[in-house]
Amino acid sequence: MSGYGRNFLVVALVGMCSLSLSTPVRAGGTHFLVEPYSGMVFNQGLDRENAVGLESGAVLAVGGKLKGFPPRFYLYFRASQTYFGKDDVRVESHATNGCVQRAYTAVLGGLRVIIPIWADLRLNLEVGGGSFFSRNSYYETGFRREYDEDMIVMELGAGLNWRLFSWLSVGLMYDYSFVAENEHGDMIATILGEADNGANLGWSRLVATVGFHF
Amino acid sequence: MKPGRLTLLTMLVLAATSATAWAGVDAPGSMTFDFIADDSSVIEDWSELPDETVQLSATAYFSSDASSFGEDGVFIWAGFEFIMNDQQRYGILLIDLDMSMAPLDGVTPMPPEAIRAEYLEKWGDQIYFDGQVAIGDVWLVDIFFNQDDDGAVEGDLALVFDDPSGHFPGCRALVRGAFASRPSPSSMRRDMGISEGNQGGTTYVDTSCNGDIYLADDSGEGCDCGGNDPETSGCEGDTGGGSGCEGDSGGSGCEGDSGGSGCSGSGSSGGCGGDVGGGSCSGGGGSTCAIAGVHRRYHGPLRRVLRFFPQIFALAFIVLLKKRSCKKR
Repeated sequence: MSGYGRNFLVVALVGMCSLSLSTPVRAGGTHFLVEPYSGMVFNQGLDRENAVGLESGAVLAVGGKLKGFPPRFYLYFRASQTYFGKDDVRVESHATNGCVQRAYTAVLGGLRVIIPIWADLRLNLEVGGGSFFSRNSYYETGFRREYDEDMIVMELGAGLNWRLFSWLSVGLMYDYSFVAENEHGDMIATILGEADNGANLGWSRLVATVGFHF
Repeated sequence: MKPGRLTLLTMLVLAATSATAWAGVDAPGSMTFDFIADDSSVIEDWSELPDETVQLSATAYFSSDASSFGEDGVFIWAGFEFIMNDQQRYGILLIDLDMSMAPLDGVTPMPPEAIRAEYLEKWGDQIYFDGQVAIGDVWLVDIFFNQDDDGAVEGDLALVFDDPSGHFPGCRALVRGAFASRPSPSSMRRDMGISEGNQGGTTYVDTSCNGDIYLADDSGEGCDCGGNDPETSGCEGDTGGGSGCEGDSGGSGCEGDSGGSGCSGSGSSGGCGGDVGGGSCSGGGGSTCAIAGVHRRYHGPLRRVLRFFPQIFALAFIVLLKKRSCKKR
């Protein structure tokens, strides 16, 4: 089974177990959620570059629950901006230093399942897809290039959320995004001598969330 | 602003930001060429090419995203290491091609306005040479079009670089050059089941969920394998491997001729010097193969759903809002 398949299976199993163990949610739930967040992004697949970036964004979600079924289902829309700062990378092929800078804008949508676990603690599970728009720049003495690229991605996520008030919650969310289309590589990754020319891109995120419910 | 207008505006912004860039190629590859480095004089004519050259190969990357010509262009970065005057050096060839202007017959070189090229030679931060094209040509031998970035390209080149400012004397020449993305156009066709053996007409291939419907023109025009090709169409019939016009035993797309990657002396502009064999394209037989693909902008269902995920959910959001407002009334 591929790595993506395994990830999906794990998330599905966790979701099913949680569904069977979940407690009834409090009455009077809300239907809309605005959830700003901020946190760290870990670059996977580009070993020679900055491993950690910063991301900020917001989730807009709408949904509700089915009668007699504890979990709540939300359709979410997420927009975010990720920065991997300027990074000096040693280019062994010609004994120089290259300066790499990458930024990503994500526009994603998907399904979030909120499963009550205990008291006001809830488990969030997400599956979604959309686009990553990347801005890449490379500089070394005598040569500079910038280019944009868009990628179709899918994401799988899980997190915990504590409902402080009926209108406010805080939480932690971890998710993994991967390119869902055929990629042969990346130019900067090739210049830097990355394995597989940077063809296997993935990003994992750990973010703190503040949710406003209404 | 009213909620309805706000959501409409959101939808429009989303649609605008998710517009596809019709980039063609985004793949690694390789380049081989005969290299000439001369720090004292500039080659101004192909007849001045020295007999002694060094054959080198370079790591290359082909990117339409990085092209200054936009979605129809391809930017090629090629890097190679060599030793000159007992010093280790690294040559970086930067070529930007406007593929929309490529003749695609493998014989006619690309027009000068469709080529931007620079050669940089350095080691560490020390630059030994930085030059622009003085003379030369680039031939696109084969292209596999793709509306996204899953295309492929193959071509030949013969370029001489000098520094117009005079800061770096002499010249650098890369002749009898051949470049190809990995996967190459022919291997892409093979992988997608597009036959190169159809006689005339067109071939429709549905690459289903991940790809597009591709319409290949296999009419065979622009591809003449001379007497070596038993078939009447295309350049198939041969048993060779990856290049656009396999048949021959050589590696580049312009082989066909027995002299390896010889050159067309037949009046191609400036580039190849007839019997000198200096340039890169094919001999009298004109063996290069270029199947002019016409791409249709169709999507597979999965890809379409993924691309418009955010829009679909925004739409669902609007519908839900409407339903709620109806209930309240």
